[in-house]
Amino acid sequence: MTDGATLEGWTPEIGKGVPLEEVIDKAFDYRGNVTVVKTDGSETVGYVFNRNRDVAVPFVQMFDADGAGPISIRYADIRTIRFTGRDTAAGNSYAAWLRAKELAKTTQHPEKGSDPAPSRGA
Amino acid sequence: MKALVARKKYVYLCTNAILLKQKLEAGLFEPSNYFSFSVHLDGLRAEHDEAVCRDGVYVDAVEGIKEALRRGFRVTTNSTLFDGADALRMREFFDTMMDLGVEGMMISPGYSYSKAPDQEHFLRTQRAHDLFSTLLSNPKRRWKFNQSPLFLQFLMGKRDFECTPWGNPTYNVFGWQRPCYLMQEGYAASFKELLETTRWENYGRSSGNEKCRDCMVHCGYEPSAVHHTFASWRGFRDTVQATVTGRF
Repeated sequence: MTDGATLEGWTPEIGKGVPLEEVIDKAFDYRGNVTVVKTDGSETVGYVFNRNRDVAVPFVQMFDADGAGPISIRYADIRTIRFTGRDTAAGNSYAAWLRAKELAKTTQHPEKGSDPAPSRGA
Repeated sequence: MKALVARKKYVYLCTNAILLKQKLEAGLFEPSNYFSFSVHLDGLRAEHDEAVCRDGVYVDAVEGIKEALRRGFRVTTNSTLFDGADALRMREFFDTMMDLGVEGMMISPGYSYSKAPDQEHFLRTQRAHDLFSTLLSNPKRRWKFNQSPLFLQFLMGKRDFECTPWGNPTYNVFGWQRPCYLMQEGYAASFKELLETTRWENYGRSSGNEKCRDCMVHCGYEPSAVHHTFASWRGFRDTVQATVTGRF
């Protein structure tokens, strides 16, 4: 996840320009729990760790919020996926860390400007 | 881990070592010739703390290394080098690790993968060759690398390999990660399933896969180097020569 671009709180409506496969891929990449809403109305909250659509019956696999699993759910049985859990990757980018460090330095040593440490990517 | 060691399997436990000293003091581990800590350190204090985006990690890790060595554990290090890495500082880092008593070091260029927090500072192929050539063209005899010398020559641009993504398979609570340690594109339930159902032709430089284009990471290329060592007399000779002379 890039800095500042979190899917936390996203509740996509499948079919309105948002294909199910794309939402599943995003859930697979998401570093947090999601809520999988099935076509029968039931919901499973947990972490999606796998998905495979290169097989005859595409499926996702997840561990539920209590750690039970793996639970397999067919693509065909999924109505949508809501990104309900905290995005643990949000705000953890290198850029965010640099900003926080600069801010801390400015607060502690307002008279000093530059970082003496060698810088990456210079 | 104790069960693996009891079966005389070699275990290299990769750790950021932040809690290593604390866990050692709690008696969580026992020294064994079959067990080594592999401490992740990307350079000296400033570079490592910046690489992991957290101040103080280097100091904690070094304290952990010292404590482990004092207690008779085997300790190695693994280092990822990013764009902008300073070859002179890294040589100083190698000296520091040897001074600490680390028995071997592993180095590898970083790889740009979508879940990594820093997307801007990974090494592209030519820059990687330049950096590792500068770093290793005049190695000190006291530096001990815990990896294939042919892989180090590959990093320097002196020889070419294709990736062997199944060479260092990753297994975790989710299963067998495909296709490799770096690219997380799903999981197989068994090693057999991993080997038989992963489309290996889609990976490696020659596949044309954009994600593999600039990858030079040891999880895929070190197995290729080791295979070359034992698959040909020339590979074996070159490995022996580099090992004996300490030159890459």
